[in-house]
Amino acid sequence: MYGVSAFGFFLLGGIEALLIRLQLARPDAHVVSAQTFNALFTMHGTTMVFLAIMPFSAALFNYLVPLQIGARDVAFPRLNALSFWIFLAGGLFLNASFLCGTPPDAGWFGYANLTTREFSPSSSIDFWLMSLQILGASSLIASVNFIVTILDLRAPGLTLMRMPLFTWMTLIVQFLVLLAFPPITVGLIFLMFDRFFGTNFYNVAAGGDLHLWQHLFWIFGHPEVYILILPAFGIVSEVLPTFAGKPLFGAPVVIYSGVLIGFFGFGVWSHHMFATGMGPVADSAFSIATMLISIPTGVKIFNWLATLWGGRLRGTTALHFAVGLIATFTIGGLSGVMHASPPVDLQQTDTYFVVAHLHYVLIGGSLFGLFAGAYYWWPKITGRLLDERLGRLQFWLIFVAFNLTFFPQHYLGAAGMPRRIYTYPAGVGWELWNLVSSVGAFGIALSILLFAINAVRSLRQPATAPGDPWNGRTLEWRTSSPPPPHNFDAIPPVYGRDTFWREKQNPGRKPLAPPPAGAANFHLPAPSHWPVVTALGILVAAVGALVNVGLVVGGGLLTFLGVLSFALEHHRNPAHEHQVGGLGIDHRKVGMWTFIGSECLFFGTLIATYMAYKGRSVVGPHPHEILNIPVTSLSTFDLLMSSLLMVLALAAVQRGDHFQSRLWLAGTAFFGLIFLGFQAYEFTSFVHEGLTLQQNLFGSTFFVLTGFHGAHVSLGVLWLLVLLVLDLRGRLSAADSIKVEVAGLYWHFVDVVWIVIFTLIYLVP
Amino acid sequence: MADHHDHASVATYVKVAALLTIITALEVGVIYIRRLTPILIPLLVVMATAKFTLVALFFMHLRYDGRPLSALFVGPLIVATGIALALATLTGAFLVLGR
Repeated sequence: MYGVSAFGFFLLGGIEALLIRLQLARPDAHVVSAQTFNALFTMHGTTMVFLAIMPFSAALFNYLVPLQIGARDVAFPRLNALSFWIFLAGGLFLNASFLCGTPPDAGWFGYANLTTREFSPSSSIDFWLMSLQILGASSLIASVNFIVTILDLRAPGLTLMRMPLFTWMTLIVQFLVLLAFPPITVGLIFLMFDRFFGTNFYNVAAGGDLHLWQHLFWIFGHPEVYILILPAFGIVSEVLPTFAGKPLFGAPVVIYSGVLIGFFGFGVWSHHMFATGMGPVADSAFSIATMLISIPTGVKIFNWLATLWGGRLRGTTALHFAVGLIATFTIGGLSGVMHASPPVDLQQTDTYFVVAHLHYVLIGGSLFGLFAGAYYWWPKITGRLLDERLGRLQFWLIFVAFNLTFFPQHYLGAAGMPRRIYTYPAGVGWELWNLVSSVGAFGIALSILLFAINAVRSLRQPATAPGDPWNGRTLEWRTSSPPPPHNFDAIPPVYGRDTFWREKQNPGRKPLAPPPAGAANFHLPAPSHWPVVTALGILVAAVGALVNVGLVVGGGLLTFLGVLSFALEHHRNPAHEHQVGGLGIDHRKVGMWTFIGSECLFFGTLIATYMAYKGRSVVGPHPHEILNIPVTSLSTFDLLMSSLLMVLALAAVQRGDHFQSRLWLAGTAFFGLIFLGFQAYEFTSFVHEGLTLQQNLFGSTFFVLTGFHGAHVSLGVLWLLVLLVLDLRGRLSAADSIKVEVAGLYWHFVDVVWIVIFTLIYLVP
Repeated sequence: MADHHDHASVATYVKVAALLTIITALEVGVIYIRRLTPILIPLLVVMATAKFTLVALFFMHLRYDGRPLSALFVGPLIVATGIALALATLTGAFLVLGR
């Protein structure tokens, strides 16, 4: 479902690209208007990043990660469905903007203050910011799911260092999603509040700093590059050894390189902002970090080349695309290193040189990698082979057309052609390369058509592909093509890297016998319609944000109903009670800790913004005039004590002491309500004293930060009340204590966040 | 590693809550002592860190649960702290690095 939807959106994004290239093919062209051109490049970028490349990767994660780690499914199958439906809702919502005649037109980067109500008064940016938040929620849910799956569901013997490279890169990507999406979510929330409620986050007249958006966007945006490229690196690291007939050269080094790329990915964002004048210290720091990150990337390339060296190469289409990636991504990587130098970057910023660079990375890297994966795993997924001759023809066509399209853009950029201009006059020296580039773009489109023909032809054939058509190395090739719904009849044992391949290389050696498992031993997830209902609720609320507040309430209630029913659907179902995996920890607990990791970034960004804007309000009231420390000390004490009651409640549930569990659960919820009462009193008194969301930067940052914390407390109270009702109805026994523990973790986290807020906002002068 | 670890006793939870109360009282108290002004911010940060750590270790059971869970929390916490400090610095809240 991810793959098909992503391909549909990919075609849409491709059509947008073709219209852009048609417009630019000749000088002074009028294929589309300037306004439409703005919408086209905005929607092309947004679509390709969020609706095509990311979900293509997600399709492969979904299908292959459980197979590669010897699991029957992901840790939370219904949550997986929820991710998909929310993704689809976000994609449809974004593209519905075309039907309403107001497609987003401020670029995929959406720089403030182009996006504020003053400069974008229509609903175009509302579509963009709401859909990005929806898509972010989908990605976040999926990341928690995959992290838990990979950490907790690996087959016996499959240690982290024995994991296939694709699964490794998936794990790194999920951590990047987990940590990179909260900052952009916060940036989008600020934008949403500015547009809908008149706050001042991006209001320069009120002291706001437009760089804040750029920072929040690129804190997300640069890791996003690795979110898009690392899956392709993982695919190449699977394809090359298989078709070279050799193990991956220096596999642990490739893994460490991936980890380093992920880690450094969070420390280079400001190289996208050299032109904003950050100063020599910041420029130097980010320049050095950017140069450093090229080292692990270069290491991978040498490892791949060494894997090919001396191998018995089989020239399949998948290998063609993998080698094509090495060639084209290297070009994109090298032009990327050029941007690490601020003086060079200043010359290239906002020119077509950057357009060439990013497409060499994202088409020559990500897309070529995904095609390699598509050809490689197509028989595993469909049970059918793709036509190799047609595949190779497609490769050579896209390889030539891609270079024809984007290599000349280096020249155009060097010759001074700016990005995002909808036309140019004749005689400036850009005509030839623009025409060549446009011809190349249609070549790319033709190659995609060839792939579609190949896929349709293949799907019309009978499913006769063997389980291991390529002499593969990893566990997915050990089961049939396509695999049964439970993936493996018996979970295969693992005793090293490439266990399956080694067994085939030593036919005399008896393979380790998998543990016996009958069909009765595996539980397959029952279909659920609650993920669809929840996603529908979110979609209705998003539509409501544009048309009617009543719809927002209705959508919110539908979402709440969906989430509640989703949570209680399998309550006390024996098949769902035991969810302990390889780590020896319940999946739900690992999942909550993973989610809390993401929340650290969410609140960290909100708090950092408060600190950044502290003292910048141009009018009062100011914090020292209005904050009531004695009252807030009492509410802080109340929240801290609620955490004590929460652990007492958990201990009582674990003991099976219903009287105490009910008492402490009710007590925790009551203390939570008292805290919310304090907050309501504080907010009301502040408004009476003239501090509102719109009054000044202090009001905007204070209310949004503490308001989101209060929203978290409110959710926690609701959660506790649901548990209390279950307990009162006799449906919460010691066997359900994990549910209380997970709720408790959330509650305590909300508590520790308040500890930080209380100190930094209230006590620090 | 088993899923059910021995968590703290009720007495330990109560002691931790008492400590949290005392530290909170100290936090509020020190801001009114003029002589502590030069070291007020580090003092407050240390006390908040102590409270944060107590809740994470005892109430959230990180002291008793396995290292993977600690890693899942501490890793993102470090990234969040680093990004927050960098963001506040770059936007001019702390001119640690100068301009």
